[in-house]
Amino acid sequence: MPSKRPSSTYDINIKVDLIKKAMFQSDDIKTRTLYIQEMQCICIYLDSMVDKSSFEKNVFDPILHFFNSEHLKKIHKSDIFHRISSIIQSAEIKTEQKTQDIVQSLRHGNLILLIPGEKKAIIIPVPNTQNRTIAEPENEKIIKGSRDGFTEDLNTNVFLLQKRNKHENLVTKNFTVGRKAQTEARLLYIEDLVDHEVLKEIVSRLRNIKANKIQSSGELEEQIEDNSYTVFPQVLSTERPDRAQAYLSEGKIVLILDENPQVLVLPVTFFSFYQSPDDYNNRWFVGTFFRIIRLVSFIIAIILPSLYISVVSFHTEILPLGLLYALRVQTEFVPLTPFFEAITMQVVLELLKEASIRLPSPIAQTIGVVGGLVIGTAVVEAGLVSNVMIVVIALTAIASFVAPVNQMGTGVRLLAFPFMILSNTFGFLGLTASFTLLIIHLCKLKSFDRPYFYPLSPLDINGIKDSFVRSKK
Amino acid sequence: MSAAEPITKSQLFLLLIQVQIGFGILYLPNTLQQTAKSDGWISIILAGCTVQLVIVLYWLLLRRFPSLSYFELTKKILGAHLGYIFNVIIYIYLILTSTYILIASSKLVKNVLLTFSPHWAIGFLLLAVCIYLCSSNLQIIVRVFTILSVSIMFVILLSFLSFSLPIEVMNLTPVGSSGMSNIIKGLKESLLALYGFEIILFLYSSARHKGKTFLKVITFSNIFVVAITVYLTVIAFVILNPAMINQLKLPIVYMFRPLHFTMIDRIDLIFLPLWSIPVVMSIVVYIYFASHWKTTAPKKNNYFVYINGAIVYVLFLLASKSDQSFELYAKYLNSISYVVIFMIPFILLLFSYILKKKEHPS
Amino acid sequence: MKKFTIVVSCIFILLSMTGCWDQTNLNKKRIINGISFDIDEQNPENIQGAVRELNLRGSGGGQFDLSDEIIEADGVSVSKINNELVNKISGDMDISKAFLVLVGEDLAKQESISSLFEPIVRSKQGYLTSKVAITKGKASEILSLQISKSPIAFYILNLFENAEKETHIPKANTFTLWSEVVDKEKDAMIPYIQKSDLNRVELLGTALFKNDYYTGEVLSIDQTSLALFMQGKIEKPPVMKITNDNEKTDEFSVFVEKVKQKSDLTVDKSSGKVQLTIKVDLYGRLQSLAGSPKKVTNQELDKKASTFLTENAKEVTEIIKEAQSDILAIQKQLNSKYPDFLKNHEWEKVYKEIEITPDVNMHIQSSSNLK
Repeated sequence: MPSKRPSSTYDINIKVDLIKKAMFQSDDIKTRTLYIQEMQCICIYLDSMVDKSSFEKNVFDPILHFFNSEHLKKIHKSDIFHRISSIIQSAEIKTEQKTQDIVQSLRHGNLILLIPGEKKAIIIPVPNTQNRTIAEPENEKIIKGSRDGFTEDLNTNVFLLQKRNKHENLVTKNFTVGRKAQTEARLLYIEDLVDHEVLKEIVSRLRNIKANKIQSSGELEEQIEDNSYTVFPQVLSTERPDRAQAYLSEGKIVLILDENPQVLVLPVTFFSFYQSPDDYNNRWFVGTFFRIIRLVSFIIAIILPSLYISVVSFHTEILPLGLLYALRVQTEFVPLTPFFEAITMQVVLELLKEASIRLPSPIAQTIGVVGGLVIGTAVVEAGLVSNVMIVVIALTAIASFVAPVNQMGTGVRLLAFPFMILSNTFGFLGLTASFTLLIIHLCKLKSFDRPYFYPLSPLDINGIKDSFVRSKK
Repeated sequence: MSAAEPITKSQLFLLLIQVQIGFGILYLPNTLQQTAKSDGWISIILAGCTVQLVIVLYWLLLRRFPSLSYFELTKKILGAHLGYIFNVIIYIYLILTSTYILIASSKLVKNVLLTFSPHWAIGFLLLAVCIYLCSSNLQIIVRVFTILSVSIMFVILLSFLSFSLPIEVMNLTPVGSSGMSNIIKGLKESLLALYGFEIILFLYSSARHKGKTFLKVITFSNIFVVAITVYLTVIAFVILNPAMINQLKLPIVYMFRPLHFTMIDRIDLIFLPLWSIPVVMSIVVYIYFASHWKTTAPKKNNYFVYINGAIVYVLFLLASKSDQSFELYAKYLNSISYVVIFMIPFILLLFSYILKKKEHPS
Repeated sequence: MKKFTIVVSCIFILLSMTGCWDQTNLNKKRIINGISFDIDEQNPENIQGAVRELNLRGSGGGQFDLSDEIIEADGVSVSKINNELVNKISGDMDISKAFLVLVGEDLAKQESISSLFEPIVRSKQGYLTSKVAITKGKASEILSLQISKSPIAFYILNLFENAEKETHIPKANTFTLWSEVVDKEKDAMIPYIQKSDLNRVELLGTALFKNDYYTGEVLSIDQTSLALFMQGKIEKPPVMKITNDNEKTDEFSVFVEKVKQKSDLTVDKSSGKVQLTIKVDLYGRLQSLAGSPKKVTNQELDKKASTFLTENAKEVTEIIKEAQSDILAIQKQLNSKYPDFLKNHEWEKVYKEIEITPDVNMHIQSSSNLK
């Protein structure tokens, strides 16, 4: 033999070098050599991504135990590969040949076992699963109902849904989205209920995503939604499995992106954003009452400031005596026109909200007090803004926060601005015109080729029964 | 996909009543006071019967060509060249009518709501809303109309409030005192208020239910519109006395003015913006059909919508300058509307029977 | 295309933002709460108008001070007065809530009422539900009264609203007045007030109109109630006092709870004689009965009340006939029943000779708590 080293060992060392090179010699790569029947095999793994105790127990122990047992006959070299595959205690074992793929799987927390003389590498998943426990989502609280929430782990999320669907034909489809950095995604639907036309459309949209990398469900939403020129979300994102489940059983499709606790529900209608899983835990007329209150809150949040503007600066005739005098006194020394008053106060409100939202809660409370109480009273006492305007803006803000899904509330507050502009120019006519524009806009909107404003347009009396009203089942 | 979705019965009904109910009703008691006086409601009912007759004739014509749009139908019956001329006339009519509605509504708004705002601004606002809707497909338009019909219901509810004013039923009696000739004169005026039914001609091909059901729906919508018109006119006559109606430009709007409640005064200020929405939205239907006389790609049709919108706006600016130009405009429109609403369909009907042209069931 | 639309709408929004054509500033508005019209004493041709302007001033803590001032102007016509007032008031004069219009009786006799109200009715803002009244003496005297801190207009408004509820005066506002004045087939009646000795305002009854002018005749409050019953109108149960001229002890009063009115108009074609019978049935319960323990039956009281009220009603009809004031809308009834009759006969003559027979029947249904 010309060389001391067998060619096969030489092979795997090259392979290891190749892999390391592809990973830019990252120090995180660890190798470990083990001898199987005097053959030098090499394991490669990313130190941070694997669960060491798991691979000791499930991979090394069985292999060493098996090959070191004394009564073992010498196994033929070519057989070793298969033998190893069968003794490792792991759910799924893959083999890869290309360096690129190997690197990719390395990054996903796999252990790579290279055996001399074998072109393919054995890939054993031993991921380091440091998962958050399942907890109730902070921003979607309910009073009555289940207390679990989605986590960052894809499989946990699927599990949460699957567990709720033991009796239905829940189908899961795997996708990867993003051209470069591929993120795993799962599409879930109930076979018997789903609208297959919509399913086809969604699949084709998922396949056609052009973005290089998609990491958050928000980005994914932007890539697949119908119309980006609107404040209305066309995809509902939720962290609540019970809500997702409710939509699944309505024939909607759920899209879960890896590392995202927000799960996307599609196609949705406008009214989905004003429903809460609570509704079904309450008596039906209580549920109905709350649904109607929420829809009214939508209208209040949009039109209240503009209604005030148009009444005060255009149609004071419409006010009865007492109210007119009260308003007249309030506005006596206010230097701003109602329109600018409203705009300023809306902006102040948004500032307060933005300032307090990301702060730790004790500080946020302080901001709330300082902002809400101190600024509020001071601004009125300084005669910059009228009392009534503060009431109007506060009511608007509260009404916009009523929406059970946060995305909608923010959109609604934005929408109030064009309303205010038009009413400031045309009074009631501007108000009705902008409301008509809103209705037209909602009718034109589509969520995955399904009408967004559904039970109202196209009108479906039976549909109304379950969106406006929470009817008895 | 959804573009080809046909119009259902209820959608057709709601669309028709909104196109047919216009600003005309608001002036109607005043114009009727000049002729039929307290018997105006008889004139309206007679006008309704006339409309019914005409829509039956329309139906007879349309039934023979269930899948052709009206613009194709003229060509089919009269041949390409003559049909083209007719189509141009119809096109002009559609554009002129939308301009007319726009002018009238903007005048109305200026009269009651916004005295100092210039016409160009009011007109632009109203037209912009219309064009925004118009640049979609018929299905969307119909859906929007379905929702907006709530505003008509709301207006009818508002009208119940006016019963709290003193009512003088004797203003209506004795029935028939103004004589047949005056009632007939009033019929002509009332007919103008009921215009809008000609849109049936364009709707047949996209309706889901054709044949007898279609006739039933359009008859019901006509009855509904006539009933609303009679109802509003009668309350105007009962609440305001004849001498007052004679003085008032917009009796039906004025009727809401003396109403006051603990939380709200001046119901007329709410009534008018609510009323103006369905009125102005009927422009959408006219511009839509004016822009879709050739079935081409939807993108291209949107382009036509914008162009037609621009034309309407320019015409609007020209005619809204003074009352005289508006009256002149109304006169021209009146004569062309006779041609389009009555003559052309009759000619078509006649020819289709004489030449025995009929769409072959495919 | 999309860009183009966006650009066009942006331009439009900018243009309209700079416009805001109809916008008015609430804090510059001077709210008028009462208007009065009188004859100018120096120059009888002129009308003297006065407005009461409410000056509100917040004094902090949700409290506000009222300072109510009166501003006067005169001119040949109402629009002239308006122009003058505009120059006398600091800020925009806002008449959209002027809920009281007082007309001095001298002016009302002389000047047609429709010319006074025409600008209000025509304008976009004019308040049609404002209360109207004729004043004994000068109207501006009443409008300039200062009763404690509350503006006089509110005082009168409350006075009227209460009286309307009690069916003591008709529900009259600018709209009804205008409608009745314009309507040739019916005449108006509106409240008549005076300044009493103690600088208060007192309701005297209703002033009768003939067409456009005040006739000078006044119905007292009791008579007004009767006249309203004859029109079939009733609000909250009013109290009718039945007195007997001979015996004071026979006095009693009744809550009237329900009114049924039926009028029957007949025309004798040959003689041209018009007869109107108005049958009024009043249903009520006893409020008080003088001469305590009840010895009489309800029927007897009914009878007494009926004759008493019928007589009073006759007086009312005499007064309105004398005033030539057609508040019962007889002309309207005539026209609706006999459309050709007035073509051959002159209304004024017909009205002079018309025979009105009121027939008031009282039905006492309960005697309340006491037997």
